[in-house]
Order: sequence, then structure tokens, then C-alpha cells
Amino acid sequence: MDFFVSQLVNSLALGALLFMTAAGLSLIFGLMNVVNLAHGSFFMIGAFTAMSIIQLTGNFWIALGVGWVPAAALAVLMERVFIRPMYSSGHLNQVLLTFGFIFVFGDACRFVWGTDIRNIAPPALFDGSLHIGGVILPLYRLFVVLFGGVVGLALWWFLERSRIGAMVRAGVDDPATAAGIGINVPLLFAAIFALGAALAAIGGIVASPILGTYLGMDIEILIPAFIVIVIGGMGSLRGALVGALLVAFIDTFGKAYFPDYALFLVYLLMVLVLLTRPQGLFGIARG
Amino acid sequence: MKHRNQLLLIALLCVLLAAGVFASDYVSGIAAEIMIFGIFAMSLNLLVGYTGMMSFGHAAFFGIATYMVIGLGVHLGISGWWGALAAIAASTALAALIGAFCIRVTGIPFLMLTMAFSQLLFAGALKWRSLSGGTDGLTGFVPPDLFGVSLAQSAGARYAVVAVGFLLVLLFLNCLVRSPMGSIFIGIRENEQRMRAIGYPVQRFKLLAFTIAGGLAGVAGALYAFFNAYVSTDILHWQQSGDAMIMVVLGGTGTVVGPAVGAGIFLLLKTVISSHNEYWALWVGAIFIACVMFLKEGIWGFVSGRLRNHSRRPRATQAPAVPTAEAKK
Amino acid sequence: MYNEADAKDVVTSRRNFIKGAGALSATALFGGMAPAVLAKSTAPLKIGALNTYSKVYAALGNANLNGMNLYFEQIGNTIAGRRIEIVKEDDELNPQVGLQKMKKLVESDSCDLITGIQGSNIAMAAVQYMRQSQAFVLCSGAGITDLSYTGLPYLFRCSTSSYTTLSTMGEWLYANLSKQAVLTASDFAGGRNAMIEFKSGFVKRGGTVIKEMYPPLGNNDFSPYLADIRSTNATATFSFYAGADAVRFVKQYGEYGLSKSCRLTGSGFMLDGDTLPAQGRAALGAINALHYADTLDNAANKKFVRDYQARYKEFPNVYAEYGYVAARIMHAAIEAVDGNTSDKNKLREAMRAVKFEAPRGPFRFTPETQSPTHNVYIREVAEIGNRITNKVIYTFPEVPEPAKRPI
Repeated sequence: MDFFVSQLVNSLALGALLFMTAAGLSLIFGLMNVVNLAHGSFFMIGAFTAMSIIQLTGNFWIALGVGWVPAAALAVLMERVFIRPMYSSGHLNQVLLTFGFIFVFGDACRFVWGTDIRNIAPPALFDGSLHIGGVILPLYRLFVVLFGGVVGLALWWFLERSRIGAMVRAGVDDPATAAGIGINVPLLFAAIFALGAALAAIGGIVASPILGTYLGMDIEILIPAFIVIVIGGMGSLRGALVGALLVAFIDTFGKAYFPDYALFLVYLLMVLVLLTRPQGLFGIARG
Repeated sequence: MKHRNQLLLIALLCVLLAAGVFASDYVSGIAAEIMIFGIFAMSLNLLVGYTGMMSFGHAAFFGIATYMVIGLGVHLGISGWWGALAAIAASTALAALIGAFCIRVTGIPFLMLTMAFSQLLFAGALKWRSLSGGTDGLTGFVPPDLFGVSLAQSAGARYAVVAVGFLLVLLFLNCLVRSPMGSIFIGIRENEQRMRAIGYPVQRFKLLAFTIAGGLAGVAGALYAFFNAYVSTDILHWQQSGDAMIMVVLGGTGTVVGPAVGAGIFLLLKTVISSHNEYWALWVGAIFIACVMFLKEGIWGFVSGRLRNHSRRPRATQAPAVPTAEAKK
Repeated sequence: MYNEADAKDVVTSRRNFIKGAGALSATALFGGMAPAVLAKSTAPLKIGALNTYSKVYAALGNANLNGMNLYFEQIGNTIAGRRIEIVKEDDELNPQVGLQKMKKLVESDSCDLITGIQGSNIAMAAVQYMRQSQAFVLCSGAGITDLSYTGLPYLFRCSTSSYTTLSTMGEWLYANLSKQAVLTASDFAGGRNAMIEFKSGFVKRGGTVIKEMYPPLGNNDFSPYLADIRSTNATATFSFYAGADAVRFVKQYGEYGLSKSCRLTGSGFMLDGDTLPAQGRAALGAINALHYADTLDNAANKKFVRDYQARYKEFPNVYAEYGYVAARIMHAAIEAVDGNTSDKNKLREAMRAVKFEAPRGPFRFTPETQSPTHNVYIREVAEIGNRITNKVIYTFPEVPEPAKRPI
């Protein structure tokens, strides 16, 4: 029972991380029909930026508060200069474009931050573990679960209840009409791309105390993030949440009970979903 | 292209390839590697450029062939030549199997599915270490003899084998795209619905394209086994598929040989830049982005387009936004 | 085509031309002497440094190169009148690429010797080629035991052979810490081999392995495995992880409260200069074995650490020490043959005879394997002078390497 409880918390924490990262990706696809393969790069840039901020200020919260800014700024630049001219080229060409950026961002990070493996310490507030009964629950993981929930709620409120969210939904449903009623669709696109990147960066910052900060984390997070949105459905926030939790559960419990096959289980699930319901569990069916 | 010009080009190609046998070991080694990946990229282009199916899992067919040759040689002592036949058969069969699943979807889901299957194979290779050697790979493979000359010792012989393979694949693909089947593939890329409406069994042809592409990737994989005498799981990673995609885009999807040119550009850039600068990935990435944005027909497409324009032929069709492959070279 | 690794190693081709011209005119004057020999011994000494300089393990390659450059700078970048020229090539931690680059260094760049090679998989992949090309290689990285038993005459290794370190650790653990242990390692050949080698010392002495666990490479959440360890009530674990996995494992070991009840021990590579900064306080008290520690109290190491810090503004790690020792070996051997690297057999004899006090302690080559015989240190992670590093708690002096493959 103890084992089960601690694994539950772990899978929720992992799920929260995956959700934050995948939500941005899903949003970008939902609105702009762009599959951003360089999404993992924003994740990594966020983590490294936060590391530098912590080195300067010693404060995790400041790093969390502003560490996503460079990633978001790069995203705006990327969207304006590179992706915007490609809207008419079909989204497969956009996939290729963003793929090229993986290389560029990866080397840029190496140039700026060097090659050493680093780490961000969890904030002093959450350093340590809770011992309840026989279960050990690291405080930081509990924080991650909570934070993921907060972010999820904020996103939901933003999309469903705010004016900008309504514009986003309008732009998703029918960009032409949205433009017709005066919504500045290009600006919206740039803003959403930046938001997606910011979410990935925040995911990277929050993930660092658990995963570490190192070159190669961009590629490592990419496949799980894609598995999440493929399963959950691209363009759907609910899908990102459900997908993230599903993948996290299967991964965590799979490792615990079927250690030899954990890796396969997740990929098999991805294959199954793609074959039976290509748009994902909650996704928008798109051509 | 005029028939005479074509023959001239083929003759030139043969001369160049023959010359390679006499070049230094290092140079012929680079040339052989370019040709191997050229075959790999050209096979991918059959899917991407000619049939309009963008796959990110093509490394699976390349990798399984290499593993077959090396694995059969190291574990069972089977000669490389038989191993190569088995390898090409295996990659064709695997492509038929995976293709049967993948063609049920299109677009982004197709891309993801091909990646997922490839990753499954990768995970399998990592897991079954006794068979695959895991990340450390399989060592100890001895390449076979070619008419008494050991491929292990002679770089010239290795080069010759690869060059012959390259020419055969090039010829095969050229004939294929000019054939009625080739036109069907192009038709599917242009407008799948219309092809279906006319009455073509589109799914069957897509599967055929996928299978042939996989088989050709297997040829490349088998040649790679002879060339390197070594294999490890890196060969199945999706980054290998990504590299192939880069080669296709750099060279251009519009011609049969374009991707091979792209392979050459990619490998030469990587080798040259990495000897002077640690940040080769950044440069290659930047050039790739530039091609995707501005040079959609690829570098070879651009060059050959210019050459074609110099002849008096009027352009039959406008180049649309998505890069196209025409039946003519 | 060659390149410079460091400004100090730039070839002054004019100087060489003059040397060459001088040599030629000398022979013209004196006649009889073969000009080729003279020209060769003043030609630059090309050393191929094949390491990973990109991606995740670049820190190791760079440290290796730094250590080597440090030593060469101290001897004026010249050995036996030949100017040292380092040709740097990146193997991208990919054996296929490493093989191609090695071919380039040997055939196209005509390097006199190759050094570096941190990746064990790369080293093993290159063995066939080394056999075929008879390239002269001084491996200053890979620790895989198999490399000692290839029988190649021109292959030397100055880094370490993991068997001696880990089996010694196994014996020490049994005698001093616990008669039972849980073993965990990343599921790859390096991890599994490490456990086999540890067991050969531990079990031979009488130790019992309670359980073995092999999380996948790149695993980010060790909690299921840690919970499993806790459930066995073991008092000691022995592990091997690399890179980011090492950081995560050690940190989570502390997070899940295992460090109090179950002593964390492992291979020294898991707890060294490249991972300790990230592992932080979670690593304190961990016991490990390695053939080097930057806190070693001998004259050679004190000088090495001081010079390295002055030059690179950071402490050296084991990979830097490899490079430094490699450079020293090359110096001694090539000087002994007067700069004539074309006679491989003479060079081999000279290299086999090399013996000196290295930063790690006494160094010499085991005659049967051409791999090091050196001390094995049992170390404990401690905070020394504001920095987390390893202190030596026991020394096994000059542990012999088995002449034949042990397992």
C-alpha cells in the first residue's frame, strides 16, 4: 500500500510535468496547425535560463517567475521571421522547419552554457520529504503536482472564460471569420506560440530539480510530449491533461511492475491510439 | 531532359564512380558513405517526394538490414552476401508489415505512427542485448570476399560494391518513376481523392510505395554493414530518420537523384565543419532551414532547374508551393 | 587538413620549412645520411585527439584535452625537437562516427599516434580497424575491461581497466561495510559489466547479492526502484550510473530517505568531479572506488591540481588526469626513441618501459595487457574546504591487473 501511494504521487508529479510541456504543444497545433518539433528546445532553454538566474540571485521563485522570458522571446522571433512566411506551405513543411531548429537551438545552448551537467536545487521551502506512515513523499514532488494543477486551471480559465481565450477559440474554429470580425489573427498566432513556448519553458524549470539540467534534455522530452498529445488529442487542453496522466501512470507503474516492458507499453499505446482514433481521445479531427 | 544529355550524364557518372576506386582510401571511404546514405535518402524520397507520404521512421528499415547482416555474420557465421539478401528481404517484409498499419492514416498521424514503430524497434534492440549488442553494438563482423579480394582489407573493393549498388538503385528508381506505377504514385501525392474517384486502389499503391522504399533502405543498410563492419542501436534512433529527411530536403524532393546530392552535401558539411568548429549542428540546421524556406526545390533541384531552363523547352507546369517531383528528371 | 586545439599548439610552418631546408642542406653537405630520416624527426608530431566534443559527454572530452594540453604546454609543446600538433576530432559518442573519424586521423591526417577515446563502445568498435591498420593508439579514456585483452601490440591504455577497480571495491565492501548488498545500474553494457566485475570481488569473498536492478538508460524516476530497495532492508547498495542518470539517482536516493538506512556506494565514475557539483549534498558520505582523487596528497598531484586550477580556473577531474598522464607517457616514450615514431616496435618498447609518479600515484603498464597498474583508492564523498569532493579512506597499492581475461 505504501508503495502504491508513493508511486501514485510520483506519477501525478510526472503527469503534471508532461502536462505543462505538452499543453503548449497542443495549443499551438490546435490554433495554428503547426507541429513544433523544437518544443523540447524551449523546455531546455527554460531550464538553463532558470539555472543562470539562480546562480545570480540564489532564488528559485525569481527564476520561475522570469526564467521563461527568453524562451518566449525566441518563440516570437521564430514565429514572426520563420514560421509566418510558411503558413501557406502546408503543415508538413512547417514540421521540417521546426525540426531544423532543434539543431540550431541545441548548439546555441551549448555555446551559451557549456557542456557540464547541472542541476537546480529545489527551493528551500520544498526541500525535504514528508514521512506519513511508512510512505516517504518528497515535498518538491507534491509542489509539482499542485503547481501543475494551478497551471492547468489558469489555462482553462484563460481559454474558456477570458476574452482573449474566446478569440483563440474563434481563431481555432474559423480563422477567416475571426479575422473578418476584427480579431488580429497574426498577433494572436504570435501570442499563442509565445505562450506555448513559455509553458514548455516553465515545464523545464519545474522539472529541473527532478530531471537535472543538461544538454540533450530537449530531445529526451520530445517523444514523451508527442506521445501525450497524440494520445490525448492535438488541440485539446483536456486531452493534454488526460494524455499526460495516462502516460505518466503507465510509465511509472509499468516500471514498478513490468520493468522489462515499461518502454514498450507507452509506445504500444501510442500506436493503438493512432490506429484506432488518429485525432486522439479528445482531439479535433483535422486533415 | 534530352535523351542524348541523359546518356552523357550516365556515362559521366560511371566514369566518376570508376575513378573513385583509385582514389585514396580516405576519399573513397567518404564517397562510399555518401552513396550509402544517398540510397537511403533516395528511398525516403520515393515516399516523401513522389507519393507524398512524410515518414519519420525510415531508419527502421535501414537499421534492421544492417543488424541482419552483422548479426547473422557474428552469431551464426553466415557470409555477408547471403546476409545481405536476407537483410533486404527482412527490411522489405518489415516495411510491408509496418506499412500496412501506417497507411490507414495520413498527414501528422502518419508521421507520428512511423516514428512510433521505429522507436518500438529501437527499444527492442536496446532490450535484446544478446542479439543486438545493445548500445555497445556488435563487433567482430568480417566482411566477405569479392572475387577473392577481401572487403575487410580493400577500401577500393568496398567502394566498388557500394558504387555498383548505388548505380543499380539509381537506375531502378529512375525506371520506376517513369513507369505507369510511378505516375500513379505521383497522382496519389497530387490528389489522393481524385485517384480514388478514378478507381485506383490507392491504399494498395501506397503500401507498395512504402514497401519498395523500405526494401531500398534495406539495400543501403546492408551496404553499410559491409562498409562499417559494425552496428549499434544508434542506427535505429529517430534522429537517423531525421537526418535522412534533412538530406532529402537539402537535395530536393523533385528529382530521383536530388536526395543523393543532399546526402553528399549533408555529410560533407558535417565532416568539414566538425573538423574546424564544434558547432556543426548549428550550421547544418541553419542551412536546412534556409532550404525549407527559400529553396524548396532543394539545391540539386535548383541547379537542375537552371540547367533545364537553359534548354529551349517551355515549362509544362508551374511549380506549386509544395515541392513536386515530375516524371521527367 | 588539420586544425588547432589551442592557440599554443599552432604549427609555425615557416619554422618547419627552415628546419627542413636546413636538414636538406646539412645532408647535401655531409652526404650519405638519408634525408628522409632527418626530415621525419623534425616534422611536427601529429597527435590525434579523438573524443566527444559535442553533445552530452563533451565535458569529458574537453577535460581530457585540457589535461593533455596542460602537460604539453609545460614542456614547450615540443618533444625531441618535434613540434606537437594536436588534431582534434569529435566522435559524437557514436561508434559509427568514431570509426570514421579514426580512419580520417590515421589515413588522411597521418597522425603519429591517436589518443583520447572516452567511450568504451567506440574503443571496442575501433579494435578491428586498429588491428587492420596497425595504428598506434594510446587510449586515455575507455575503461572497459575487454580492451586490455585484445592482444594488439600498438594499443596502449593509460586510463584504467574497470575490473581491477570494481572487484577490489567488492572485496573491500565485504570486509568493511556489509556482507550483503543490492546492486543497481543502468541497463546497458557498461552498467551490467560493472556489476559483474563488482560481484567477482564481492561474491568471491563470500558476499551475498540480495537483488539486482537495471533501470533503463535515461531513466528519470528511480522511486519505484528505491522503494524496492527499501523493502529489502538492505544495509548497502552498490551502483553504477553515468551522466544525468548518476545525478538523478544520487539525488533521489537522498530524497527518498535511503541514505540513512542503506549506505550508498558505487563506482567512482558515478561520484566524481563531473557529477558531484550537480549531486551536491545528497552525495555526502557515499563510498566509491577509483584510481584517482583530486585530494590525493602526493607531490605530483599537488602540482597537477595547482597548475590545472591556475590554467583553467577549475579543479581537474579524472578525465583531465587521463589526458595529463597520456601526455607525460607520450613525452617519455617519444623522447626515448629520439622522436622517431615511424619505427612502431621501438616506440612500443619505449612506451612499455615508461614508469613514473603520476597525479594518481605510481604508474606503469602491465606487461601482458599494456594497460595500467596503479593504486585503487576507496574514497568517501566529503565536504573539503567549501567544495564537495572525495577524500581517500583506504589505498590498495599498485593493484595488479590479471594477465588473462578474468571473467
